[in-house]
Amino acid sequence: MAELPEKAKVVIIGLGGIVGASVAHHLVERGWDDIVGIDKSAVPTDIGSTSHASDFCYATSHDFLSCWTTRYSIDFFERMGHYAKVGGLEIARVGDDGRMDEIKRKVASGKAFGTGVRLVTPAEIKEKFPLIEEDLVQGGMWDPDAGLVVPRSQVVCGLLVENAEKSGKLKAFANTPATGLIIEKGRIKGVETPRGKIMADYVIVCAGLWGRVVAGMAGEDLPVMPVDHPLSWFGPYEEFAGTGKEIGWPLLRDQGNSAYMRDTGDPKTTEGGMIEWGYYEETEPRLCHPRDLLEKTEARLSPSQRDLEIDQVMAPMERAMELTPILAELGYDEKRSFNGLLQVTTDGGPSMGESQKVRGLWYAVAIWIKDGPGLAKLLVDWMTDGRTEIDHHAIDYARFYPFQTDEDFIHARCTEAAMKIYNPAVHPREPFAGGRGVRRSPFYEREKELGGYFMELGGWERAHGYASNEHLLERYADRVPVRENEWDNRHFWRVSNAEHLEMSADVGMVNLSHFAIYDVTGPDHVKFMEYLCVAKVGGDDRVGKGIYTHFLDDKGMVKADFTVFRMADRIRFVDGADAGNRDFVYMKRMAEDLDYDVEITDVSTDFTTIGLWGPNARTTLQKVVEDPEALGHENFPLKTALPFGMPSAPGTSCPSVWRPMPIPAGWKRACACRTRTS
Amino acid sequence: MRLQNADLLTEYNLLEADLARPKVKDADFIGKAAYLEHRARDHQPAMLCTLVITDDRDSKGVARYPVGVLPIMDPETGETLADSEGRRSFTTSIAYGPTIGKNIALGYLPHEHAVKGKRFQVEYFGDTYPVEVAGVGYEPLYDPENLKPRT
Repeated sequence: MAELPEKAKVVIIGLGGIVGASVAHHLVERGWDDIVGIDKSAVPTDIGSTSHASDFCYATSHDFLSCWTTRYSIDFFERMGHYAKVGGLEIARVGDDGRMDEIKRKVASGKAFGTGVRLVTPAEIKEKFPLIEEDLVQGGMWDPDAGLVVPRSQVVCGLLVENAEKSGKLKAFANTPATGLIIEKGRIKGVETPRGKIMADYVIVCAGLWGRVVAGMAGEDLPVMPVDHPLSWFGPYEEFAGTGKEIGWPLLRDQGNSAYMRDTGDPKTTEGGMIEWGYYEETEPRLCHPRDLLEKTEARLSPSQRDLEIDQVMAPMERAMELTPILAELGYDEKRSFNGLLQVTTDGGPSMGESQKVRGLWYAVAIWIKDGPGLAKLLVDWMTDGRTEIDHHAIDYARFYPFQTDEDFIHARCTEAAMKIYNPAVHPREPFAGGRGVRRSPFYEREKELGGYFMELGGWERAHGYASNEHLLERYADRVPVRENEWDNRHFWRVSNAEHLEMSADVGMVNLSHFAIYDVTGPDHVKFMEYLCVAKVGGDDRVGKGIYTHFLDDKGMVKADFTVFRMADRIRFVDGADAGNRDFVYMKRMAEDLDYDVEITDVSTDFTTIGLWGPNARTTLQKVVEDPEALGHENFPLKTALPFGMPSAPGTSCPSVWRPMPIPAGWKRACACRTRTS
Repeated sequence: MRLQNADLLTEYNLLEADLARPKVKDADFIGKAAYLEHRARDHQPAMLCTLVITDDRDSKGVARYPVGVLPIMDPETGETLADSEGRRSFTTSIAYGPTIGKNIALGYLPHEHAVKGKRFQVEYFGDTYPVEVAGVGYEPLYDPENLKPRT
């Protein structure tokens, strides 16, 4: 075997899986060279999740990015001549109206995002997939672009690596695990392996199930988690003998039973002459921390293929036998069946992009086969151009606040995500039950007393309405409709509409503690923010102003929206909870790259924010401040920021937290008061 | 109000979101050259528009309050609108507005369709609903002149 080079431009950790191999391909395509790919085991992988993946692709997600990456990947596999576009069905059983509704919703998403899905009748389903009991089905969806990567995605990985090697741009090293990362002054310098060190300008972690272990070498964690996915095999199935096909029938998903099935074609093909039936645990998913993964020598099949006890899947398997009796007719191949590990994530998206702690260290972890080439393209474009042609907010590793990479948090959220891989349908407003109560505003206890209905955003518990205001429902009965449809009404409190009307008519106070707040200080703070923001923030006339503005990317596209408050010695940056950490990381990187002398500090938990809104907001505020005159029209017009004091209010629930505010306030006409929480 | 990661995306420019400033500051800033080019155009390929659902009853006659992403389609062809850059039209936000008593949505519409009063349809759980363009760019339906905060 060739000597490991002493240095390279880029090192890919985990070259042998679909992500590493696709990243290598796209790096070469975008003109990168001097790339070294290493893998803990074989290339292509014999131990990663790619080695046992079911390899099928459906473009039926509810989000634009997933549909884009899946469609890109399907085209990619097809151009290589390694895709069997057999189409795929998703069905709803008779009696499962919720699933039928979800299928209709998926068709609408498909129309929005440009996939080819459409509704099909039970008769059409039977025609396309004769193994099904037509009487048990009420309807379904057909994805004409669904299909299978053939003969295996593992084979495709081998080809991608081989071609990249032939180009002279990539050197591949199997059996070369990363045992450490070499980091100096917050920048990646190289990778340690048992075969020596490789110095590198960039390191890309494509280590899949082992991704968190590698991230740990940089002192951070990725909010992803391996989970058992039972794959079972039935055979022999001779239907496609002599056809040479890798798959004969379309793919079938029965998500109401959290299951899918597919045939494996001609018995003479790679996996041939069987039917594969797969399942996702809905009630007790078995998660496995990456540090507990076995080594190759310790596992019966492989580290990512754990033993499956048939009892684990008996009930859903029996339901599958009702729908597709062929499964009962064929023999269950116990030896071949296993629990394949795949990864779920805390918010449904992968961990992609540059590390938050180490410049030049990039992640591409927790990615399905169907998204592998598409996400690899986005990652490489991102590294090459600093941007991607579609918005990457949903995959950016910088989106995670520190608390979101806490081990217990990851476990709690990933457990819930694992329970909903196929079923039930996830509501757009669906809250998590685990990982809650991380951040509470100073008003939390009071809000609880008022009967707050809490949801979470960026870790903050936010009341979406208060039981104490439900008397308003009478006042506004004719303007606040009852939402008869359960889905429309789910995770919604009718009182919030009444509160909205009351605020428009009188005054209302809204807890906005979830805003992310960062202070930009230092000699260059004005110059720096002037270069980042579209609006003019520099100049003495801006001091004391609140300015709503944006970051653009190099192409002039909208990257962030926020409000900055110019203070005498700093710029206070107030951002939405969803985007806060990402924008914080961006500002820190820009300050470093452009060499501005600034300090950027997260002060989100030092201050809180209240919106006081409505026609009577000013007069209401004037009643409780020390100097009401100071908040008159002349002194306090729109878009101004003013410090003001409030006397403590004995007898109220939180007198001690109120104190004079030597900082600006002002959110439109309303006041953003800040008070210490600790 | 427009929200980053929903209505504001790196797929659209600041003029399409109708959040450009009246003037461009003298100082240089990231994206300025592209921003000036966008400003020099006769029009943008798409505009973020406000739409209202004009009939919210589903096929069973139940009034609906949609959540999530709905395709915005040509009622004649049933095809989802797409602009000259190939970007498709769908709702980026949707909510019931009790002050105006209607479901209100935001979505980017191709230039030729971004016309106040134009009618399209959205799809939700297999049913279609008529929508009307109530505002092109930043045109709030409640207090459109932004007079209330000035009092």
